[in-house]
Amino acid sequence: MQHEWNRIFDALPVPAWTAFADGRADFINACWCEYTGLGFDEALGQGWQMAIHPDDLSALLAGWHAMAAADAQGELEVRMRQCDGDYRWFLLRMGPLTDASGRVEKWCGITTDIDQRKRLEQAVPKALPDLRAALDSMPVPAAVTTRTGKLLRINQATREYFGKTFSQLKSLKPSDVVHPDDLPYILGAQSKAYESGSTYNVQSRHRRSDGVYRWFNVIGMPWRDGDGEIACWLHLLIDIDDQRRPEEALRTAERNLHATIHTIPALVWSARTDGSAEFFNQHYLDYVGLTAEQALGWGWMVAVHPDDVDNLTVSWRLILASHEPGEIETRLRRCDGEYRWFLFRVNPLRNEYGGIIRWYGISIDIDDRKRADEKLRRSEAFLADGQRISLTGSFSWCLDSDEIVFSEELYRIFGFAQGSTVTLERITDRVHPDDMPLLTDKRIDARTAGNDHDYEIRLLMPNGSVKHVHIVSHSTRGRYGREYLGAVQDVTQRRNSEETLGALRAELARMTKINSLGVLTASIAHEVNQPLSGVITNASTCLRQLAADPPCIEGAIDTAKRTIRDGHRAADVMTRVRALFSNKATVSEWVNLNDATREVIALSQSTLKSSRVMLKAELLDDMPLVMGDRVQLQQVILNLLMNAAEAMREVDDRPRQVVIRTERDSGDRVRLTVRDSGVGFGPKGVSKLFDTFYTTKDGGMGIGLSISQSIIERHQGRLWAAPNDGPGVSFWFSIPRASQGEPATQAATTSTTRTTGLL
Amino acid sequence: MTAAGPLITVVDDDESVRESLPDLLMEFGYSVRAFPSAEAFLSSDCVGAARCLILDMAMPGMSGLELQQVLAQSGRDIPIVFITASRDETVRALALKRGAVDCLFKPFSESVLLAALNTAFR
Repeated sequence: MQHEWNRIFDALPVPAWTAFADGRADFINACWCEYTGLGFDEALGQGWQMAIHPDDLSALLAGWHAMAAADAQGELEVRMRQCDGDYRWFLLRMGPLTDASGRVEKWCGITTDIDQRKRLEQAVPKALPDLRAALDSMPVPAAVTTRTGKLLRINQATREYFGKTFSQLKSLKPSDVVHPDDLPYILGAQSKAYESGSTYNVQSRHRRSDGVYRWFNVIGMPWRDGDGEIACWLHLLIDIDDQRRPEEALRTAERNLHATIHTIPALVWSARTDGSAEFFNQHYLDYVGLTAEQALGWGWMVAVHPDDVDNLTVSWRLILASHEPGEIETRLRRCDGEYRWFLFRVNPLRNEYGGIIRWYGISIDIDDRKRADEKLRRSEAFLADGQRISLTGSFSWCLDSDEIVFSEELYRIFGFAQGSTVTLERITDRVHPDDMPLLTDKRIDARTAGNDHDYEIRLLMPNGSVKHVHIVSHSTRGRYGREYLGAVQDVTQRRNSEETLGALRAELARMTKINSLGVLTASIAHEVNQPLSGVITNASTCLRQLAADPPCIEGAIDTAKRTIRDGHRAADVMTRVRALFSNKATVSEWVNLNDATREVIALSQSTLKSSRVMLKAELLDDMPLVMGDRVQLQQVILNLLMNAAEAMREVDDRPRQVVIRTERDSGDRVRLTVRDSGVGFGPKGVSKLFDTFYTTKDGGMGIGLSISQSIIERHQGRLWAAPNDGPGVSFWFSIPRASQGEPATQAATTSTTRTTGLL
Repeated sequence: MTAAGPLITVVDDDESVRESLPDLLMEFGYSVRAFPSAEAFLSSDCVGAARCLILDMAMPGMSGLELQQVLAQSGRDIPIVFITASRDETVRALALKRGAVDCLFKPFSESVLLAALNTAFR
């Protein structure tokens, strides 16, 4: 702030200075030095007194002391020596400069050259005998009026300045030529002078012929006749506009600067070279709730957060030692007790030799920014953590410029160096060749249709490993045109797990089939041995009929036909066994659930029969077809039948009966139920029933129901179990039936089948 | 299906057996009657006339072993040759213990069958 003052002072076209109350000058402006011929340093302190006329110095110092005692501004007229040694009269206006608390810091003064006026004042009395001649010879506007101010005469300079004749001027009102703001003062001064008979001296603006107002020093002196009575008044107008304008500018600048400092929405302060504070603006004091007296020196530290005091102290001392501008972030206590973050920014003020005179600082409230930064930092940290944990990276792709931005995690997923430039070509190089057509389609779609995308591709990493990534992206219009924002998740582990799970499931299914095959071995042998027995017996008969004399050709033909029939029957059994226990890949086809059930019954009936199980099949007419894997569904049915038979192994007090039923279910579904009359299971068993490796059977593996459930789930169905009202339990599954317009339903078949005679 | 020889009854729920076995036995001069179940046999007029019973082990309703017990309990001492498609040695041993002539596992050869019948008619 001082620097700003000095700059303004130096720009003034009139001599000006600032000094302490004891008379020591601490600043002399360039105009002063130029006028007096004294150097800046020469004039500082008491040096300036060399330029004051010796006769005027004591009066000047006395007058100044009087003003200092009253802390009031004032004027003094003194003679100052020009650089050429001549003295000229100056009007010295001086006043106190106060700080924010109102304490007088120093004094400042501006001098106005009044030598011409002063000489006129001294010259006019001598010219009284010939007032008219004197008036006309005066080089400044002058007029003579009556004792009451009525215009009597004007000189040439007056006519020229106002552009009016005497008559014209006489007809005008004072307000026509005097600035409205100054009119009361000049009229008041004149009225007072007319009344008292003493000289008046007032500054006012008068309108020139071109309409421009200029400042004048108006001096009115009474003209007395030989008896000492006032005969008329002589008014002189001394143009002081050139001097007055800088004063006005200075006052305005001072007012503006003061207003600026105290209204600027920041905390402004200055400090001495030792770091202690010497000034705070009002906003600062209001903010921390301290008076200037409390805050000055080191008092302001009470408003600094206790945790920040040490850091602030050290940082402030480092800045002081560096002699360079600096910044410190610290928390300041507001008047309501709340601490907020501030940025202290400080600059040194240097003298012309570079030495630091004082420090000026501004403290800016950065609390909101600080909190926002912290929030943003935490948010970014959360996001980074979230992306790292979820193996998900994010990206943006500007379609116009092809500029691509990757998140940190996405760099890791792609195996790119962090921060390296990502291009479409680099991404293309990393994508698995088999997935390039898909990626190309997506890029074309992005540039043409702009649809949102959700797909998976594989990345072929430099070490030959393959990553599966799931990409979800959304088209949007950003600041730089259309762009895609998206997320890429590394789902390799999930895919590998799924593949492992699939392999495990297939292995379990295979084991289940092998297990079922073991269970059915006797049944299969029985079903094969029956027709084989017929084949052998018929063949024996046929041989005997052919060997008879005469041969019984007709009988031999019949037995041979039966041989062929029984051979086919055996072959059919093996075909069904091979179909049920083959390792062929999963297929989806139209399946007639009734036919599938009958084939299972045919294969298992011997086992059921040997277990003395009565099987009752209730297969619905017009059973809708289902879409699925026939063999897998048959494995489920077989598993349920074998479980039912096993559950009745210990039952001797009631018929060992199994009912297998097909029917329509709600919601366009079909249901197959296997109901037994076995030992059932307790409440705990229900919840574990479908768990892998849970079993209630001796030697059971506990995988049958688990596999069955997974098969049914793959058919968009569900497998249930529940105790019957009577003995035993029922298992059933429900899967979607074929949609309308698909293959017709099977031929009606509803029958009740016993464990014998079904094949 | 009659011939001059002694009457043999075949009880089996398998139609193939009921068709083929009587034809072969008749080639050897036996008289043969076939029944699809134990119950059908018991309700026929052959119970007292049959000199030998070729009996399927597992049938719906009354099994072969049960028929054996019923006949024994009624004092009918008919030689029984069991036939079965299930190779179960335990069941075979049980049948022999209860007095069966033999127990043949399907498919069996002509010579094995004739040997069993020879034993039955001895």
